Formats: sequence, structure tokens, C-alpha cells
Amino acid sequence: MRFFWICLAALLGATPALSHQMPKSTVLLDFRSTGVDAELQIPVDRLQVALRQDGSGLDAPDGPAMLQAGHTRVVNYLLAHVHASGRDGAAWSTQFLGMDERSIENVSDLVVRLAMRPPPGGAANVLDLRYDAVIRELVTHAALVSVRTDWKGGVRPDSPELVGAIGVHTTHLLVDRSGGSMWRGFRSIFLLGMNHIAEGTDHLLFLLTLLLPAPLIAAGGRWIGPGRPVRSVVQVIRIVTAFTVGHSLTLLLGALELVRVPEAPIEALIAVSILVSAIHALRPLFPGREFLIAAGFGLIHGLSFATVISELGLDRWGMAVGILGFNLGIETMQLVVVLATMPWLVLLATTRAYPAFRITGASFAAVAALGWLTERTTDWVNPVGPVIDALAAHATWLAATLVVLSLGAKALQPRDRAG
Amino acid sequence: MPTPPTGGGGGGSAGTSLPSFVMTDAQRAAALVLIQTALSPDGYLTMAKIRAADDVIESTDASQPWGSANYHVAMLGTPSTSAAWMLQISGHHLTYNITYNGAKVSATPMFIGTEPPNFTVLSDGTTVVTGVVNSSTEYFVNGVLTTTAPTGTVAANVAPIEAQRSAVYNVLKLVQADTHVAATAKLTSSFDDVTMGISSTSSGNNDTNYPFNSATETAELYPTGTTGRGVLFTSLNRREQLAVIEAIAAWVGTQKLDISAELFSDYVSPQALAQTYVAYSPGQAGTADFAPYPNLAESPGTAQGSYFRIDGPRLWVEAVVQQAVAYRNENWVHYHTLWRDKTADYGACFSTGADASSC
Repeated sequence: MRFFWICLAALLGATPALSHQMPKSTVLLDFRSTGVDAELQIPVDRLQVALRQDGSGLDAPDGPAMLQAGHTRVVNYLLAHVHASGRDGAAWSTQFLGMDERSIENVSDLVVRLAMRPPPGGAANVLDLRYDAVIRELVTHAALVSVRTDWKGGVRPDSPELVGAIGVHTTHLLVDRSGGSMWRGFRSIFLLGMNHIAEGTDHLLFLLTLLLPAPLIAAGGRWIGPGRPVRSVVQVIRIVTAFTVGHSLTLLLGALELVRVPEAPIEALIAVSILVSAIHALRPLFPGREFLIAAGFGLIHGLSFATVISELGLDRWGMAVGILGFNLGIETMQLVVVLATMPWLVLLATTRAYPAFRITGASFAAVAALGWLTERTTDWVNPVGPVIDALAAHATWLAATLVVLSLGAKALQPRDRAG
Repeated sequence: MPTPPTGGGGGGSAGTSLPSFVMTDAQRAAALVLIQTALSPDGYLTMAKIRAADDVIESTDASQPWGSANYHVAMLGTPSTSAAWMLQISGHHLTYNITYNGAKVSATPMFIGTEPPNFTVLSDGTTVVTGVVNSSTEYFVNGVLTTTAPTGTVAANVAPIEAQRSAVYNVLKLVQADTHVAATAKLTSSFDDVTMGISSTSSGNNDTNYPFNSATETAELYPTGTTGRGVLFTSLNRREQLAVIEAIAAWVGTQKLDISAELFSDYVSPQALAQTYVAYSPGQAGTADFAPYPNLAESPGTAQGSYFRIDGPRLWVEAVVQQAVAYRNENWVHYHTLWRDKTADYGACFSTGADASSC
């Protein structure tokens, strides 16, 4: 019999293709050290139904009017239907910050921002939310509640956490974020940094392309052959360090908003940086001074990293730890990639297969850079991005291919030519 | 090839815990024979029309797999003439749950709805959805918007849940014209969907108590008491009462005669009707509007929010006019309806939590 219940539960949970849902509200909570900022996203037409029913006898204001003259009524209605308190039941203050209208796929939402603050000395990490806006009048309505920011709980706006649903039978939700810690927040943002490099193929492609000729010596405007392994390793360390110094500096300045540069030209310049590296890998443009290029373009890449951080909406302390954690995540992932590829690249550089490998790699990078550059400057969508993303998804296989290639080339190499 | 049943926008239940597979043509034909055997002719025809309507909205808006291909047949337990098992037929705008348990019968929860409310099929198979937008007529011909009336011979006018719609319309026409009754029957809340939909709380519907254990739990989500439930059946005049009984028959009549006869006689027994309420809530234009061909009205969207309910000791029927989803830009409407049984959902026996053999 028990099995039956499990099956039934599974079946009900799985009931496919149920009828389409009417628009619902969304509540996004940002937990800060001082309290909770809430963003309510309420479908305008549902709110109008509620205001008509609300009993005040006034006609509900329409969309634009909600934002202007009629908005006192809307604000009063909302403040009467949204209440915050702490675990102990002590009421928090709820302050209206502002609102605007946002249209997504023809569904127009009223977006309302509220600041909820505990009384002095009250804990800000447990929110007892009582909410029945729209739901009180339109009883089939519901609000989905998510935590959007909780630094210590490791929740960031790029991946909000659904914590509950509010409906006519459940207008009360306790959101307990007291389990967080500085370490959880740090770990979360460290992983974000690692992910950003693992998935940000353009950053990696720049670095790897720049490292492609690192084991080589240039003479007469051409790459003539491998240097000693020790020299190669030193070259790699210099380039990687310079890149790190460059992007760390602008990441810090950008995240703190001391430097503000629009995103579009930065993304375009990142594509240019890959193109320059690719040309350099084909014909030496600045042999021995790669580290300067790495540092210079590192400044550009850092500004791009900074946009990730500044979009997280961190407070001052969170920002300090955030920049550190994010940057350490970036360096760690970068180090992993360099350690996984460079020994084999240095080895491959001592074989006759290397010129072909270098030219192939550099040409690939050049094509990718041109693809990105046109996409980022002219909005001409081309398949370069998707193709690279598809390749990057098989990074382990690419690395394995490099290992096999370098070992194979080394094994076939005549003894006297080796080293 | 296995395929995940995707939630057609409903309840966010995109995943499944049960294995499913795509039927071969022969299997599909056999399944339709099985379904035809399980339902009354009306119930089978209703399903066929709803599936056709689901195909029509998929042709208009392919963002969701809500067509007839995304229908599922499930059997829970082993088919038996003495022990409990359930047959479920489910798709975008339809769910039949028929539980067999020896002599005990159960046909709920049953959900039927339709978008568009009605459409036309031409003799060459072309489907035409007609409606009014800002005083001018629009046509979706095989899902493509045009303002030119299509030519061709009309083979069929299809209104999938016409039996239920017209029954609700007849009740509400009488009730709303009867001032005193209308005042009692009118609910203070507004509705934009059925309230007891079998979906998770996150969708705003409430099924957390079902099936509940009647030994330890009560059906607390249903309204209780004598206020806020509408007007008592016994307070209605004879014509109004007959219209309500016909409305009950419109839902129950989708089931096979042996099932529908037993449930219907229980729902309309004098004892049951003495505790049965009828309620409505007006739509945006101020009346509960279940008129035919709603999308041909001057302002179709103002009918949305129209709501109807029959609330008895066992019986629970809801019908609601909602804004269109596939035809949202046209500001048209569509219907959802629900039939539940407060004591016999998913099979009466199961609600006790007892072993099937002891029932």
C-alpha cells in the first residue's frame, strides 16, 4: 500500500501538460547586513483586479497612472499587504523606495522596491514575511518568493534561490538565513571566479594564444626554434604573472567603481587582444616582451571581470571579500589550465610538429577573434561563439589530445634532434 | 525512444518520476479504444475536441508542447475487477482520473478546459479561429494571423466544452437576473483560475491535502460553514434548480454510465442538495459572463475573471473564464473547469489510507 502512495505522489507530481498558469507575482529578497531589500514584481492587470475589489470604491489606476498620480493608492495598498518582522515577532519598518513598469513577453509587471529594516539591535538574517498583496482579493493568485542576494548564504543574483510560495492559504513565510557564514560567501564567489574563467573562453583563448610562442626564440622576424626548457618556464611564469597583475588591478578599480568603462568596447577590445596574440604567434611582433602585452591587455580583461562583481550588489565588506574571492577563483582556474597545458606545450615545442601546431592554433584563435570582434561591434551574429563554446565543453578531450600529440611527436622525433 | 513529459506551462512540473514512452500507431489506436471504453460517448468526444483545440493553439504558439501528441495514458496499480487501480488520461487541457475499486467508483479529480473556446474546421482540414480585436475581426488560419476571412466549406464548428459552458451560462443567466439570489450567490473574492487545481502550491493551487486521510484529517481547504459559499440550492427557484442539476450532469455525464449514474444520484440526492451551494464571481465587465463565442464579443477580454462554482457535501465543480494564453495579444479568453469529489478523489477507498483489500 505504501508503494501505492509513493507512486501516486510521483504521478501527481508528474501530471504532464497541465493547463497554462495565469501570471503570478514574484518577490525577490536581498539580504543585507542592515536588513532586507525586497523587489515585488506584480502583473499590472492582476493588481488592477485586486484594487477594484479592495473596497475603497475607486477605479483602479491603469498601468502608467499607477506610476504617477494614482500611485499613493498603490503604495498604500501594498504597504497594507506586506509586513515584515523578525523571528521574535518584533515588527520591522517597511519603506517604499520606488517603482517602475517592466514588460516581459507582453506581460506588464509593476516592479516595486521596498526596504525592510529590523528595529535597532534586531537580527537582519531572519525575515518573517506576511504577504497577501493581490492574493487577498484575487484568491487564485500566488507569489513566488526567492532570495536573490544573501552574501553569507552564498546566494547571488545570478542564481536566486526559491524559498517558498505564497497563496491564499499560506500568506506567511519564514525566511531563515541565519545559517550563513563569511566562509560560505567566500567559497561561493571563489567558485564563481573559477567558473567565469572555465566558461569565459575568450579570456582563456587570449592567454593560451599568448603562451603559444612562449617556448620559442625569435630571430629575423620569424620563430626559429625552441629555447631551453628553463627559459620557456620562466617565460610562461612572466606572462601569466603579468596578466594576473593587469587584470587584478582593473578588477579592483572597476568593482569599486573607481573606473567606469562601458561594457561593449571592453568586450570588443578583448577580441582585439586575442587577434594581436594570434598574429604574434604566427609572426613575432614583440618577442620577449609578451609580458607587457599580457599586462596591458590584462587591464582590459580585468574591467570585464569587474562587471561580474559590480552586478552582484554587494555591500562594502562583502565587496572586499568578494573581490578577493573572485580574483583567487580566477587565478586558481587560470593556474589549473596553465599547469595542465604548458608542460605538454613546452615538450611539443621541441619537436618538428610544433610549427604546424602553432600555426593551426594561432589561425584558429585569429578566426575566433575576428568572429567575436564582428559580433561585438556590428551585432552580426555568426557561428564562431557557439562553435567555440561547443569545443570548450570538451576541454578535457582537447587537453588529452594535446598530451597524446606531444608524446607522439616526441616519440617519432629522431634522437639527435631532441632537446 | 523515451521522452520526458513536459509540463505545458502547468504547475512547473516539467519533470517526471515515472518512465514514459512514445506509443507506436498500433499502441495509440489500442489506447484510444481503451479510453473510449472507459468513458461515456460524451466524455470521449469531449476529449477528442479538447485535443483538437490543443493542436490549434500549438499551431498558433509553438512555445509549449501543448498539442495532442503530448497526451499521456497512465495506469496505476494492476487492472483488476476487485482491487484498486487507476487510469489516468492527461494532456494540456484535460485530465481524467478514473479509479476502479471493485464496486466503488471514482472519476475525480477531473480537469477540462479549452483554448480557444471554439473554432471552425474547413473541409480541407484547415482550422480557423475567429475573434474580434478592437472592433475588427481577426482569423487564425492554421495558426497564421490574417484579417481576410478564409474561403472554403465549413465541415465542423467545434466548441470542446460546450456542454459545460452552456450549462453554466444557463444557471448564471437565471441567478444573476434574480436580484436577491444573485446577491447571496455572489462571492467577494476574485478568481483567475480554478482554486482546487491538482497542482503544487507554487502554482497558487492547493492540493496539499489530497488525498487526505479522513480518519485524521479534514478537507480544510474547501470552504466550510454557511457563509461565503454562495446561495443554497434549496433557496433557488425550480427553474434555477433544474439548471444547476443540468450543470452537474454536464461534468458527471462525461463518465461511463455505471460510474456517472452512481455519482450523479448521490450528488443530487435531497440530502446532498440541501447542503449544496451555488456561487459566482463577476468578470471584469461586472457580470459573470459565460456567453457563447466569447471571442466574437466587442471586448472579449472583459469576460475574464467570470467564475462559477457548485459546492456540495461531496461535489465540487468550478468553471472560470481566463485571459487567453496563445491568443494573449488579441485579448481573447479561454476556459478552465474542475470537478472534484471531497470524499472520493483518486478512489474513495484510498482516501481512508486503508489497505485496498479492506474496502
